Amino acid sequence: MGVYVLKRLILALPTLFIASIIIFLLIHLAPGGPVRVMLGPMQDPSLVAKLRSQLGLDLPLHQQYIRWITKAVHGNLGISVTIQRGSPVTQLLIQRYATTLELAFLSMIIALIIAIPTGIISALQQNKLADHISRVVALIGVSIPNFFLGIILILLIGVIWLKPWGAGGFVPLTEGIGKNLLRMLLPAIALGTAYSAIVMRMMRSAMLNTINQDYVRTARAMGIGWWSILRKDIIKNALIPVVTVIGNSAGYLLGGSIVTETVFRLPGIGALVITGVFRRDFPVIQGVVLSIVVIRILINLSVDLFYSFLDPRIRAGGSNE
Amino acid sequence: MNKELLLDVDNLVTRFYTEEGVVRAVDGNSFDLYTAETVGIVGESGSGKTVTMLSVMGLIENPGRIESGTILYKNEDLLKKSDKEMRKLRGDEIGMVFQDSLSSLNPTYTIGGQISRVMKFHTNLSQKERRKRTVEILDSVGIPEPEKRAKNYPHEFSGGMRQRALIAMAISCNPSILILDEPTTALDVTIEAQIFELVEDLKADFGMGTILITHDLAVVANSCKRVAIMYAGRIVEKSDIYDLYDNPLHPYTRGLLNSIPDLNSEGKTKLPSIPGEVPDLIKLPDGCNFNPRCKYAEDKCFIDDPELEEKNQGRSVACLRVDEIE
Repeated sequence: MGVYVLKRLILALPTLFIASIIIFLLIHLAPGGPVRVMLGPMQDPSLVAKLRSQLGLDLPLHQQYIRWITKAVHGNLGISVTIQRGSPVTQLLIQRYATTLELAFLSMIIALIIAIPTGIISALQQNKLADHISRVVALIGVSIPNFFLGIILILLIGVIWLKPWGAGGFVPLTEGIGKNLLRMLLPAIALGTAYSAIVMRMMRSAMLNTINQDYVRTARAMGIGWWSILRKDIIKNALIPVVTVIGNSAGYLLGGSIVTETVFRLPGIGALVITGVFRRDFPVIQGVVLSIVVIRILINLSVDLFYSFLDPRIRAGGSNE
Repeated sequence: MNKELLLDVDNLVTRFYTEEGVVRAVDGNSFDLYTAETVGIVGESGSGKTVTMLSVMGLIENPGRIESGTILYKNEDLLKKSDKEMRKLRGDEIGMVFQDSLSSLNPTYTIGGQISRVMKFHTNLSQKERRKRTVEILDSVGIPEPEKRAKNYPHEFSGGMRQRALIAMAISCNPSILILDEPTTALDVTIEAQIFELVEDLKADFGMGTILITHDLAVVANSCKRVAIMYAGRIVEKSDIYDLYDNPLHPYTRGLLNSIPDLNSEGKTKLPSIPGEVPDLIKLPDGCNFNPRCKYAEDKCFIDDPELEEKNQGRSVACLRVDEIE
């Protein structure tokens, strides 16, 4: 198992390398350098040049890349140049990720709580009323952009129903879980809805596929109870493809959080990268995108590990013979 | 051992109501089974062998329906039993082994776990006792190192071992009847022989009645005394296996026996086959179902539907011209 994880991590290195080059180049191809933003409208050419050399922007591109990536490997993603001038990007990321991961985690929980049971019921009631309703709702869920859903939720629930608490804004976890959750709930619902619709549809079709498998017939021919067949034969095997979808779309949660955090004014990674783009804070943008790549790779790895836990056929290292 | 009537199926009709039409999968079949004997049911794929057995097991699902007939198990009509009573009966009184052993076992569940689960639903044994019994059963069906093997998953077993494991599952609660649905189709001939040896032992040890479904007459010849030939949802001939080989009555049976290669034949003779193919069970021909492929068919065969009629002791056939053809 350990060897397998190590192998997978080593295989991730080329991916990281290529991603880092693209991230680095994109920022440098974008118009409007950070120095101009930093210095404002009054620009003294000598000052611009001085600042550029201070930031290392006058070096050839490949040298800049090597400087950046060497530090990045050591956990130093540079210094923020505009957003919080002088503070290390790594530190900013850690602060902001707390919020984003909480949001993503809550959305996933909400999504799975909705999706898995609905998918199961939908499959068991195939082509009956419950199935039709959940499929239509899922279609709507997939189709609504989450920023729009977010705004609707703020309007309906935040402004009209929960007026005394307000909907936007953020209370850090350190000020009490209850207060924090109250603020996180609406964004989590907004972000989780579309995700749950995807998972629900996958769960439904995986269930329908599994119900017709020969081993389900075997279990019935052996007089096994319905509940045991549902749990151990149908749901367990149906979950295998669903886990892949859950993992693959977890990246969607990170992407979706950018929009959701903006709508709900949450100080997460999404809000950070948006500000970073507007204010040309290139170390911050690079840091955020690189960290998302790393997280994505880690998610994929953990999906594969969980996969092998569910399905003995692909357990790492083959059989124990 | 006294011969006791275990199963008496009479005039069973099972149909499937699909959008394309009514599938007459089982069309008025009767057969019986006594203790410690093996009855063979032979037919091509799609002739309704498996559906007949699934009807006995109470496993016919929508859009299928058992239309009429009786299925007496130890003089109790199974068709009058509730779903719950049938569930208790399956696996406990009647065991069934399916053909594709890989897809018939849950891939995410250990072999031992799957066997133990059957006992969980039919016995009062504790988990520990079940585990012990699982190892014993695996040992009795000839799995080497049963203790270790019980912890394996189906993909870690070979085809023959998986089939043994399925049999172990089916016999774990000592059923009176064991139904084997093409148990050796996917196996090597040597493994096939071993499986049938195992079934013979079980029959001798426990007096189990066995129904063997197959498309292979040679397999039947080795292990059955009585055999029923099925064609397009109907039993067309019932006979003692020796009589059947000596003197097949139904033209379809003749065709089947002729298509077994004869090693004694001289030179390069072309192996005879039955022309045409199994009819669509939705659109069966008028008259005898076999008439499009029968070389003996004449006018009356396209009008009248032959009934299964007893010819002599234990021998029945459904053919209008049986007395005229040689």
